[in-house]
Amino acid sequence: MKKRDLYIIVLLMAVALTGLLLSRPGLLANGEANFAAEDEKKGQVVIYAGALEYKRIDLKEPQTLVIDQKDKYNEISISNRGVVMKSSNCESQDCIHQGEVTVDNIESRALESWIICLPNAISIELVKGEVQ
Amino acid sequence: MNTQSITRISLLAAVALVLGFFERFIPIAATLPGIKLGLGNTVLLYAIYVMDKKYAFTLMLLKVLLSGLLYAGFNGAMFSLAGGLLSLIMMLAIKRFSDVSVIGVSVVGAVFHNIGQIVVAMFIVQTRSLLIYLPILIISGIATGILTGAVAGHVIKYIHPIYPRKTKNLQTKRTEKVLNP
Repeated sequence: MKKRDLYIIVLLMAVALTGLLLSRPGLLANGEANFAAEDEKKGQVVIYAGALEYKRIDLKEPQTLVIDQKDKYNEISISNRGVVMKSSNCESQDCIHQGEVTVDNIESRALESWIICLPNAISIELVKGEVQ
Repeated sequence: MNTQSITRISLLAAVALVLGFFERFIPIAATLPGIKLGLGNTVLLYAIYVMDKKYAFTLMLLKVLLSGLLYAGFNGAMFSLAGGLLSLIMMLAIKRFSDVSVIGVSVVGAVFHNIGQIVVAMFIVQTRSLLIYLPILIISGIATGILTGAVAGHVIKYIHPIYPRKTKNLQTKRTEKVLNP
């Protein structure tokens, strides 16, 4: 390893850390477990198919939603605390492994408030707060 | 391309494919999609250092095409093509314009491989949400890049002398300079 290698590594690391801090302001919050207070446990699930918003569902209305686009099949389960991809016919199954998003675990997830199924172009976001 | 180079490039492609296949059984971060060791990149680094640009591009395209046919599928092939192209171009550029060793080239390759894939993914799903995942992929690229770069460095150093024919003085010198600055 040369000095120049280190420069490149440090530079890329700096870019990554800046991006990390910019995209996750929660990281700087003293590492306290900031669980949402009971009245803050409100939110809505926004489901996108491609760039288009497909549906917006309040957490107060738990349900299982099936999105069937020709040969692409996704089953999304919404509970009163969060949302999870129940099943998908995609090959990678990454969306299943991404697990559940809840109002409390957004800061600790790699993909934050998102569940993304790339092959089927479905993305799900959990938005905290009251419905407008 | 003469018979010797065809044989050589085919062997390298086969090695890259096998490495890519076995890599699937090494779960380094099972819950994080898209993070893998990138062992196939060692073969590409070997091609860049010991052969030349033309062979490196051929090898990359062969790997994308064959792994797409064998296991990755069309979508997977699109991702690896984007990642592979961007990463190879950046590796050649950094090697050409900066005085770095195999490890630096490998890190740049790994990081830009991930960036290329995220960009394609953003086009497919048309969401900017994937940007929040980019820093994580850059950090993982740095880590895996250092590892594969170190491996490639040793491979180039010890395997290169087996092919004294046709590797002209220039290339030998270049390789030595890179490995033993």
